[in-house]
Amino acid sequence: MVKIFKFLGYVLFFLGALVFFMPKSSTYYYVEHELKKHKIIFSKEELVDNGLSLQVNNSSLSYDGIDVAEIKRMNVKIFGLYNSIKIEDIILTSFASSFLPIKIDSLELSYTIVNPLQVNAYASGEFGSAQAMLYVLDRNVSAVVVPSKLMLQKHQKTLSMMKKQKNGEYNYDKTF
Amino acid sequence: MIKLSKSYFVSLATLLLVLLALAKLITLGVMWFLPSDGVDLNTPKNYKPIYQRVDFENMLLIAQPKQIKKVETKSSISITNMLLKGLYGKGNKGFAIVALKASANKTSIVSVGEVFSGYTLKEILVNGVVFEKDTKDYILLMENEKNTKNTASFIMPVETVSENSLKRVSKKDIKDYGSNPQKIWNDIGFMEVKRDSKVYGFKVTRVKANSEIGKLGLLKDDIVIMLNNIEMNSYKHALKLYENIDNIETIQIIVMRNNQEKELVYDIN
Repeated sequence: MVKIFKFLGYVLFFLGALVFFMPKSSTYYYVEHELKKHKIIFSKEELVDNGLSLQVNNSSLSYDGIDVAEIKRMNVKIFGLYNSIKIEDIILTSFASSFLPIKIDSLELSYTIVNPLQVNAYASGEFGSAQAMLYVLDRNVSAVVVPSKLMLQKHQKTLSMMKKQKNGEYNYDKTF
Repeated sequence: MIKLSKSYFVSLATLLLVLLALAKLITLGVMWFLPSDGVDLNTPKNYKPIYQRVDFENMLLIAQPKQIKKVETKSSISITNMLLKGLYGKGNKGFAIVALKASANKTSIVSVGEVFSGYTLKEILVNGVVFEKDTKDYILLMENEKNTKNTASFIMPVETVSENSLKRVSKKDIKDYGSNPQKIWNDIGFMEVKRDSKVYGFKVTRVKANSEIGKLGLLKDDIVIMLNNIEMNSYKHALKLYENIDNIETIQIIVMRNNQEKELVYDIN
Protein backbone atom coordinates (compact mmCIF):
# COMPACT_ATOMS: atom_id res chain seq x y z
CA MET A 1 0.00 0.00 0.00
CA VAL A 2 2.79 2.35 0.94
CA LYS A 3 4.50 1.52 -2.31
CA ILE A 4 1.35 2.42 -4.28
CA PHE A 5 1.06 5.76 -2.49
CA LYS A 6 4.73 6.39 -3.10
CA PHE A 7 4.30 5.62 -6.77
CA LEU A 8 1.26 7.91 -7.03
CA GLY A 9 3.21 10.62 -5.25
CA TYR A 10 6.04 10.35 -7.78
CA VAL A 11 3.57 10.43 -10.69
CA LEU A 12 1.90 13.57 -9.30
CA PHE A 13 5.28 15.16 -8.73
CA PHE A 14 6.28 14.35 -12.30
CA LEU A 15 3.01 15.74 -13.71
CA GLY A 16 3.39 18.87 -11.60
CA ALA A 17 6.91 19.31 -12.91
CA LEU A 18 5.66 18.84 -16.47
CA VAL A 19 3.01 21.53 -15.97
CA PHE A 20 5.54 23.83 -14.36
CA PHE A 21 8.15 23.44 -17.08
CA MET A 22 5.67 23.37 -19.93
CA PRO A 23 6.42 26.21 -22.38
CA LYS A 24 3.09 27.90 -21.78
CA SER A 25 3.72 30.94 -23.96
CA SER A 26 4.77 28.76 -26.90
CA THR A 27 1.74 26.53 -26.37
CA TYR A 28 -0.42 29.65 -26.35
CA TYR A 29 1.21 30.77 -29.63
CA TYR A 30 0.49 27.34 -31.10
CA VAL A 31 -3.17 27.67 -30.13
CA GLU A 32 -3.17 31.16 -31.65
CA HIS A 33 -1.89 29.78 -34.96
CA GLU A 34 -4.55 27.07 -34.89
CA LEU A 35 -7.29 29.61 -34.14
CA LYS A 36 -6.03 31.80 -36.97
CA LYS A 37 -7.07 29.03 -39.39
CA HIS A 38 -10.61 29.65 -38.16
CA LYS A 39 -10.16 33.45 -38.56
CA ILE A 40 -10.01 33.97 -34.78
CA ILE A 41 -7.15 36.18 -33.65
CA PHE A 42 -6.08 37.33 -30.21
CA SER A 43 -3.76 40.31 -30.42
CA LYS A 44 -2.02 43.00 -28.36
CA GLU A 45 -1.89 40.64 -25.38
CA GLU A 46 0.70 40.41 -22.58
CA LEU A 47 1.59 36.93 -21.39
CA VAL A 48 2.56 36.16 -17.82
CA ASP A 49 3.74 32.67 -16.92
CA ASN A 50 2.63 32.03 -13.35
CA GLY A 51 4.28 28.65 -13.07
CA LEU A 52 1.16 26.51 -12.95
CA SER A 53 -1.00 28.76 -15.13
CA LEU A 54 -0.70 31.30 -17.91
CA GLN A 55 -2.23 34.72 -17.55
CA VAL A 56 -3.10 36.69 -20.68
CA ASN A 57 -3.75 40.37 -20.08
CA ASN A 58 -5.38 43.04 -22.22
CA SER A 59 -6.00 41.07 -25.36
CA SER A 60 -8.09 42.06 -28.29
CA LEU A 61 -10.24 39.43 -29.96
CA SER A 62 -11.15 39.60 -33.62
CA TYR A 63 -13.01 37.34 -36.00
CA ASP A 64 -12.36 37.52 -39.73
CA GLY A 65 -10.58 40.84 -39.25
CA ILE A 66 -13.49 42.32 -37.33
CA ASP A 67 -12.80 43.49 -33.80
CA VAL A 68 -15.17 41.58 -31.56
CA ALA A 69 -14.06 42.21 -27.99
CA GLU A 70 -11.46 43.55 -25.60
CA ILE A 71 -10.51 41.11 -22.86
CA LYS A 72 -8.87 42.34 -19.69
CA ARG A 73 -7.74 39.07 -18.18
CA MET A 74 -7.63 35.46 -19.20
CA ASN A 75 -6.28 32.67 -17.00
CA VAL A 76 -5.35 29.41 -18.66
CA LYS A 77 -4.78 26.32 -16.54
CA ILE A 78 -3.75 23.10 -18.19
CA PHE A 79 -3.29 20.29 -15.71
CA GLY A 80 -4.17 17.44 -18.04
CA LEU A 81 -6.78 15.92 -15.75
CA TYR A 82 -8.53 19.26 -15.33
CA ASN A 83 -8.15 22.20 -17.69
CA SER A 84 -9.83 25.56 -17.58
CA ILE A 85 -9.83 28.98 -19.15
CA LYS A 86 -11.26 31.77 -17.06
CA ILE A 87 -11.89 35.01 -18.90
CA GLU A 88 -12.75 38.17 -17.00
CA ASP A 89 -13.93 41.64 -18.02
CA ILE A 90 -14.92 41.20 -21.63
CA ILE A 91 -16.09 44.32 -23.42
CA LEU A 92 -17.71 43.64 -26.76
CA THR A 93 -17.27 46.18 -29.54
CA SER A 94 -20.04 48.62 -30.33
CA PHE A 95 -20.97 46.60 -33.39
CA ALA A 96 -21.71 43.56 -31.25
CA SER A 97 -23.89 45.78 -29.08
CA SER A 98 -26.61 45.21 -31.66
CA PHE A 99 -26.86 41.65 -30.41
CA LEU A 100 -25.84 41.71 -26.75
CA PRO A 101 -25.15 44.12 -23.89
CA ILE A 102 -21.46 44.85 -24.26
CA LYS A 103 -20.09 43.86 -20.85
CA ILE A 104 -19.49 40.24 -19.93
CA ASP A 105 -18.07 39.91 -16.42
CA SER A 106 -16.73 36.41 -16.68
CA LEU A 107 -16.65 33.37 -18.89
CA GLU A 108 -15.23 30.09 -17.69
CA LEU A 109 -14.57 27.11 -19.90
CA SER A 110 -13.60 23.85 -18.27
CA TYR A 111 -12.69 20.41 -19.47
CA THR A 112 -12.03 17.41 -17.32
CA ILE A 113 -10.80 13.98 -18.26
CA VAL A 114 -13.62 12.50 -16.18
CA ASN A 115 -16.00 13.66 -18.90
CA PRO A 116 -13.75 13.74 -21.96
CA LEU A 117 -16.42 14.36 -24.57
CA GLN A 118 -17.87 17.46 -22.97
CA VAL A 119 -16.70 21.05 -22.50
CA ASN A 120 -18.55 23.11 -19.93
CA ALA A 121 -18.96 26.87 -20.02
CA TYR A 122 -20.46 29.38 -17.66
CA ALA A 123 -20.81 33.09 -18.37
CA SER A 124 -22.30 36.03 -16.55
CA GLY A 125 -22.59 39.69 -17.36
CA GLU A 126 -24.99 42.43 -18.30
CA PHE A 127 -26.87 39.97 -20.48
CA GLY A 128 -27.66 37.77 -17.48
CA SER A 129 -26.06 34.38 -17.10
CA ALA A 130 -25.63 31.35 -19.26
CA GLN A 131 -24.61 27.76 -18.77
CA ALA A 132 -23.48 25.92 -21.88
CA MET A 133 -22.23 22.50 -22.79
CA LEU A 134 -20.32 21.52 -25.89
CA TYR A 135 -20.68 17.88 -26.84
CA VAL A 136 -17.56 17.12 -28.84
CA LEU A 137 -18.71 13.86 -30.40
CA ASP A 138 -22.16 15.13 -31.40
CA ARG A 139 -20.72 18.49 -32.46
CA ASN A 140 -23.51 20.14 -30.57
CA VAL A 141 -23.76 23.17 -28.30
CA SER A 142 -26.55 23.42 -25.80
CA ALA A 143 -27.01 26.50 -23.65
CA VAL A 144 -29.43 27.76 -21.05
CA VAL A 145 -29.62 31.52 -20.77
CA VAL A 146 -31.17 33.40 -17.89
CA PRO A 147 -31.57 36.87 -19.38
CA SER A 148 -31.25 40.09 -17.40
CA LYS A 149 -33.84 42.88 -17.53
CA LEU A 150 -31.56 44.80 -19.92
CA MET A 151 -31.38 41.82 -22.24
CA LEU A 152 -35.13 41.35 -22.13
CA GLN A 153 -35.76 45.02 -22.85
CA LYS A 154 -33.22 45.74 -25.57
CA HIS A 155 -32.21 42.50 -27.20
CA GLN A 156 -35.39 40.61 -27.88
CA LYS A 157 -34.15 39.97 -31.40
CA THR A 158 -31.25 37.89 -30.08
CA LEU A 159 -33.52 36.10 -27.63
CA SER A 160 -35.94 35.33 -30.42
CA MET A 161 -33.29 32.98 -31.82
CA MET A 162 -33.68 30.86 -28.67
CA LYS A 163 -36.48 28.80 -27.29
CA LYS A 164 -38.28 30.28 -24.32
CA GLN A 165 -39.04 27.98 -21.40
CA LYS A 166 -41.89 28.27 -18.92
CA ASN A 167 -39.55 29.31 -16.11
CA GLY A 168 -38.31 32.33 -18.09
CA GLU A 169 -35.06 30.74 -19.21
CA TYR A 170 -34.07 30.50 -22.84
CA ASN A 171 -32.60 27.43 -24.48
CA TYR A 172 -30.19 27.51 -27.39
CA ASP A 173 -29.24 24.40 -29.27
CA LYS A 174 -27.03 24.21 -32.32
CA THR A 175 -25.29 21.43 -34.16
CA PHE A 176 -22.31 22.40 -36.27
CA MET B 1 20.27 4.89 11.90
CA ILE B 2 21.53 8.29 10.69
CA LYS B 3 23.20 6.58 7.78
CA LEU B 4 19.97 4.86 6.86
CA SER B 5 17.87 8.04 6.87
CA LYS B 6 20.58 9.91 4.99
CA SER B 7 20.73 7.29 2.31
CA TYR B 8 16.90 7.32 2.09
CA PHE B 9 16.75 11.10 1.62
CA VAL B 10 19.61 11.06 -0.85
CA SER B 11 17.91 8.41 -2.94
CA LEU B 12 14.57 10.30 -2.72
CA ALA B 13 16.21 13.57 -3.73
CA THR B 14 18.01 11.82 -6.56
CA LEU B 15 14.79 10.28 -7.78
CA LEU B 16 12.97 13.63 -7.64
CA LEU B 17 15.82 15.33 -9.45
CA VAL B 18 15.73 12.66 -12.14
CA LEU B 19 11.97 13.19 -12.49
CA LEU B 20 12.49 16.96 -12.70
CA ALA B 21 15.20 16.53 -15.33
CA LEU B 22 12.99 14.15 -17.30
CA ALA B 23 10.05 16.61 -17.16
CA LYS B 24 12.33 19.44 -18.29
CA LEU B 25 13.71 17.31 -21.13
CA ILE B 26 10.22 16.44 -22.34
CA THR B 27 9.07 20.06 -22.23
CA LEU B 28 12.21 21.16 -24.08
CA GLY B 29 11.43 18.55 -26.73
CA VAL B 30 7.86 19.83 -26.98
CA MET B 31 9.11 23.42 -27.16
CA TRP B 32 11.16 22.49 -30.23
CA PHE B 33 7.95 21.92 -32.19
CA LEU B 34 6.03 24.93 -30.90
CA PRO B 35 6.12 28.38 -32.52
CA SER B 36 8.09 31.12 -30.83
CA ASP B 37 5.80 33.91 -32.04
CA GLY B 38 2.12 34.55 -31.79
CA VAL B 39 -0.33 36.01 -34.23
CA ASP B 40 -1.30 39.65 -34.39
CA LEU B 41 -4.05 41.27 -36.32
CA ASN B 42 -2.66 43.64 -38.92
CA THR B 43 -5.01 46.42 -39.78
CA PRO B 44 -4.11 49.52 -41.74
CA LYS B 45 -4.15 52.62 -39.58
CA ASN B 46 -5.59 54.79 -42.29
CA TYR B 47 -8.43 53.77 -44.48
CA LYS B 48 -8.21 54.92 -48.03
CA PRO B 49 -11.20 54.00 -50.11
CA ILE B 50 -10.32 52.12 -53.24
CA TYR B 51 -13.22 53.68 -55.01
CA GLN B 52 -13.06 57.35 -55.86
CA ARG B 53 -15.18 59.32 -58.25
CA VAL B 54 -13.28 61.44 -60.71
CA ASP B 55 -14.63 64.43 -62.56
CA PHE B 56 -13.32 64.02 -66.06
CA GLU B 57 -14.58 67.37 -67.26
CA ASN B 58 -11.38 68.94 -66.01
CA MET B 59 -9.18 66.11 -67.05
CA LEU B 60 -10.11 64.64 -70.36
CA LEU B 61 -12.90 65.99 -72.46
CA ILE B 62 -13.08 69.73 -72.08
CA ALA B 63 -16.49 70.51 -73.46
CA GLN B 64 -15.49 69.59 -76.95
CA PRO B 65 -18.02 68.17 -79.33
CA LYS B 66 -17.48 64.46 -79.41
CA GLN B 67 -15.79 63.31 -82.57
CA ILE B 68 -16.74 59.86 -83.49
CA LYS B 69 -13.89 58.15 -85.18
CA LYS B 70 -13.35 54.61 -86.09
CA VAL B 71 -10.41 53.03 -84.40
CA GLU B 72 -10.69 49.80 -86.26
CA THR B 73 -13.44 48.24 -88.25
CA LYS B 74 -13.86 44.54 -88.60
CA SER B 75 -17.58 44.19 -88.49
CA SER B 76 -17.44 40.41 -88.72
CA ILE B 77 -15.71 40.16 -85.35
CA SER B 78 -17.90 39.01 -82.50
CA ILE B 79 -17.68 40.70 -79.13
CA THR B 80 -16.87 37.34 -77.62
CA ASN B 81 -13.51 37.65 -79.33
CA MET B 82 -12.72 40.84 -77.51
CA LEU B 83 -10.78 41.35 -74.31
CA LEU B 84 -11.13 44.26 -71.95
CA LYS B 85 -7.63 44.99 -70.66
CA GLY B 86 -8.31 48.17 -68.73
CA LEU B 87 -10.64 51.09 -68.31
CA TYR B 88 -10.49 54.62 -67.10
CA GLY B 89 -13.34 56.89 -66.20
CA LYS B 90 -16.99 56.36 -65.60
CA GLY B 91 -20.31 56.75 -67.34
CA ASN B 92 -19.96 58.42 -70.68
CA LYS B 93 -16.55 59.90 -69.95
CA GLY B 94 -13.37 57.89 -70.18
CA PHE B 95 -11.82 55.21 -72.29
CA ALA B 96 -11.26 51.49 -72.42
CA ILE B 97 -8.23 49.47 -73.41
CA VAL B 98 -9.37 46.59 -75.57
CA ALA B 99 -7.80 43.90 -77.67
CA LEU B 100 -8.81 40.95 -79.74
CA LYS B 101 -8.23 37.50 -78.33
CA ALA B 102 -6.35 36.58 -81.48
CA SER B 103 -3.80 39.31 -80.80
CA ALA B 104 -4.10 39.93 -77.08
CA ASN B 105 -0.93 41.99 -76.91
CA LYS B 106 -2.09 44.45 -79.53
CA THR B 107 -4.28 46.80 -77.53
CA SER B 108 -6.33 49.77 -78.66
CA ILE B 109 -7.56 52.70 -76.63
CA VAL B 110 -11.19 53.41 -77.32
CA SER B 111 -12.92 56.51 -75.94
CA VAL B 112 -16.64 56.67 -75.30
CA GLY B 113 -18.33 57.18 -78.66
CA GLU B 114 -15.56 55.56 -80.65
CA VAL B 115 -15.96 52.36 -82.58
CA PHE B 116 -13.90 49.21 -82.19
CA SER B 117 -14.47 46.21 -84.45
CA GLY B 118 -17.90 47.51 -85.34
CA TYR B 119 -18.93 48.06 -81.72
CA THR B 120 -19.43 51.58 -80.38
CA LEU B 121 -18.22 52.19 -76.86
CA LYS B 122 -21.26 53.53 -75.09
CA GLU B 123 -20.47 53.62 -71.41
CA ILE B 124 -17.81 52.87 -68.79
CA LEU B 125 -18.90 50.77 -65.85
CA VAL B 126 -17.04 49.98 -62.66
CA ASN B 127 -15.61 46.72 -63.90
CA GLY B 128 -16.63 46.70 -67.51
CA VAL B 129 -17.84 48.65 -70.49
CA VAL B 130 -21.00 48.80 -72.55
CA PHE B 131 -20.64 48.44 -76.31
CA GLU B 132 -23.47 49.05 -78.73
CA LYS B 133 -24.04 47.46 -82.10
CA ASP B 134 -27.21 47.47 -84.16
CA THR B 135 -29.11 49.11 -81.27
CA LYS B 136 -28.18 46.22 -78.99
CA ASP B 137 -26.06 46.67 -75.89
CA TYR B 138 -23.20 44.32 -75.07
CA ILE B 139 -21.32 44.33 -71.82
CA LEU B 140 -17.67 43.45 -71.80
CA LEU B 141 -16.33 42.90 -68.31
CA MET B 142 -12.80 43.08 -67.06
CA GLU B 143 -10.89 39.88 -66.77
CA ASN B 144 -11.59 38.22 -63.46
CA GLU B 145 -8.30 38.41 -61.59
CA LYS B 146 -8.70 34.95 -60.18
CA ASN B 147 -9.23 33.50 -63.59
CA THR B 148 -6.57 35.34 -65.48
CA LYS B 149 -4.89 32.11 -66.40
CA ASN B 150 -7.94 30.89 -68.20
CA THR B 151 -8.70 33.40 -70.85
CA ALA B 152 -10.60 36.33 -70.73
CA SER B 153 -13.30 38.82 -70.44
CA PHE B 154 -16.84 37.62 -70.34
CA ILE B 155 -20.06 39.10 -71.46
CA MET B 156 -23.29 39.34 -69.61
CA PRO B 157 -26.34 41.51 -69.80
CA VAL B 158 -26.08 44.37 -67.36
CA GLU B 159 -28.59 47.02 -66.57
CA THR B 160 -27.26 50.26 -67.94
CA VAL B 161 -26.02 52.64 -65.33
CA SER B 162 -27.32 56.14 -65.63
CA GLU B 163 -26.37 59.37 -63.94
CA ASN B 164 -29.67 59.09 -62.11
CA SER B 165 -28.23 56.26 -60.07
CA LEU B 166 -26.19 58.82 -58.14
CA LYS B 167 -27.96 59.64 -54.91
CA ARG B 168 -27.09 61.93 -52.08
CA VAL B 169 -26.98 60.83 -48.48
CA SER B 170 -26.62 63.12 -45.51
CA LYS B 171 -23.77 62.53 -43.09
CA LYS B 172 -26.25 63.05 -40.26
CA ASP B 173 -28.27 60.01 -41.27
CA ILE B 174 -25.10 57.96 -41.45
CA LYS B 175 -24.00 59.17 -38.01
CA ASP B 176 -27.42 58.23 -36.65
CA TYR B 177 -26.97 54.73 -37.94
CA GLY B 178 -23.35 54.68 -36.74
CA SER B 179 -24.29 55.58 -33.18
CA ASN B 180 -27.14 53.10 -33.15
CA PRO B 181 -26.18 49.96 -35.10
CA GLN B 182 -29.34 48.24 -33.85
CA LYS B 183 -31.29 50.62 -36.09
CA ILE B 184 -29.50 49.22 -39.14
CA TRP B 185 -30.71 45.71 -38.35
CA ASN B 186 -34.20 47.02 -37.67
CA ASP B 187 -34.32 48.62 -41.10
CA ILE B 188 -32.52 46.05 -43.22
CA GLY B 189 -31.57 42.40 -43.03
CA PHE B 190 -28.74 40.61 -44.82
CA MET B 191 -27.87 36.98 -45.37
CA GLU B 192 -24.63 35.75 -46.86
CA VAL B 193 -24.81 34.04 -50.24
CA LYS B 194 -22.25 31.37 -51.05
CA ARG B 195 -21.01 30.05 -54.35
CA ASP B 196 -18.58 27.16 -54.42
CA SER B 197 -18.52 27.33 -50.62
CA LYS B 198 -17.16 30.89 -50.70
CA VAL B 199 -19.08 34.00 -49.77
CA TYR B 200 -20.16 35.66 -52.98
CA GLY B 201 -22.20 38.52 -51.55
CA PHE B 202 -24.87 39.52 -49.09
CA LYS B 203 -28.51 39.15 -49.93
CA VAL B 204 -31.03 41.71 -48.70
CA THR B 205 -33.61 39.61 -46.87
CA ARG B 206 -35.84 42.52 -45.85
CA VAL B 207 -35.80 46.29 -46.09
CA LYS B 208 -38.12 48.77 -44.44
CA ALA B 209 -39.44 50.83 -47.32
CA ASN B 210 -39.99 54.06 -45.41
CA SER B 211 -36.64 53.97 -43.57
CA GLU B 212 -33.59 56.01 -44.55
CA ILE B 213 -31.93 52.82 -45.82
CA GLY B 214 -35.07 51.88 -47.71
CA LYS B 215 -34.98 55.18 -49.58
CA LEU B 216 -31.51 54.43 -50.91
CA GLY B 217 -32.77 52.02 -53.52
CA LEU B 218 -31.78 48.63 -52.14
CA LEU B 219 -34.53 46.12 -52.72
CA LYS B 220 -35.39 42.79 -51.15
CA ASP B 221 -33.45 39.95 -52.82
CA ASP B 222 -30.72 42.27 -54.10
CA ILE B 223 -27.32 40.66 -53.60
CA VAL B 224 -24.65 43.16 -52.64
CA ILE B 225 -21.51 41.90 -54.37
CA MET B 226 -19.23 44.89 -54.27
CA LEU B 227 -18.80 47.94 -52.05
CA ASN B 228 -16.44 50.66 -53.22
CA ASN B 229 -14.81 48.23 -55.61
CA ILE B 230 -14.15 45.71 -52.86
CA GLU B 231 -15.66 42.28 -53.36
CA MET B 232 -18.03 41.45 -50.55
CA ASN B 233 -16.63 38.04 -49.81
CA SER B 234 -16.32 38.63 -46.11
CA TYR B 235 -18.08 40.51 -43.31
CA LYS B 236 -14.74 42.17 -42.67
CA HIS B 237 -14.93 44.31 -45.79
CA ALA B 238 -18.42 45.55 -45.06
CA LEU B 239 -17.52 46.40 -41.49
CA LYS B 240 -14.29 48.14 -42.46
CA LEU B 241 -16.34 50.47 -44.61
CA TYR B 242 -18.81 50.96 -41.78
CA GLU B 243 -16.01 51.78 -39.32
CA ASN B 244 -14.45 54.30 -41.69
CA ILE B 245 -17.61 55.88 -42.93
CA ASP B 246 -16.46 59.29 -41.64
CA ASN B 247 -13.58 59.30 -44.13
CA ILE B 248 -15.62 58.32 -47.14
CA GLU B 249 -17.25 60.75 -49.51
CA THR B 250 -18.74 58.31 -51.96
CA ILE B 251 -20.19 54.86 -51.59
CA GLN B 252 -20.63 52.67 -54.61
CA ILE B 253 -22.63 49.50 -54.31
CA ILE B 254 -22.87 46.85 -57.00
CA VAL B 255 -25.85 44.61 -56.55
CA MET B 256 -27.13 41.63 -58.47
CA ARG B 257 -30.79 42.32 -59.19
CA ASN B 258 -32.77 39.87 -61.29
CA ASN B 259 -29.47 38.31 -62.40
CA GLN B 260 -28.23 41.64 -63.64
CA GLU B 261 -25.61 43.84 -62.09
CA LYS B 262 -26.76 47.25 -61.00
CA GLU B 263 -24.62 50.03 -59.68
CA LEU B 264 -25.83 52.36 -56.94
CA VAL B 265 -23.70 55.39 -56.15
CA TYR B 266 -24.14 57.64 -53.14
CA ASP B 267 -22.48 60.96 -52.49
CA ILE B 268 -22.17 61.63 -48.77
CA ASN B 269 -22.45 65.27 -47.82
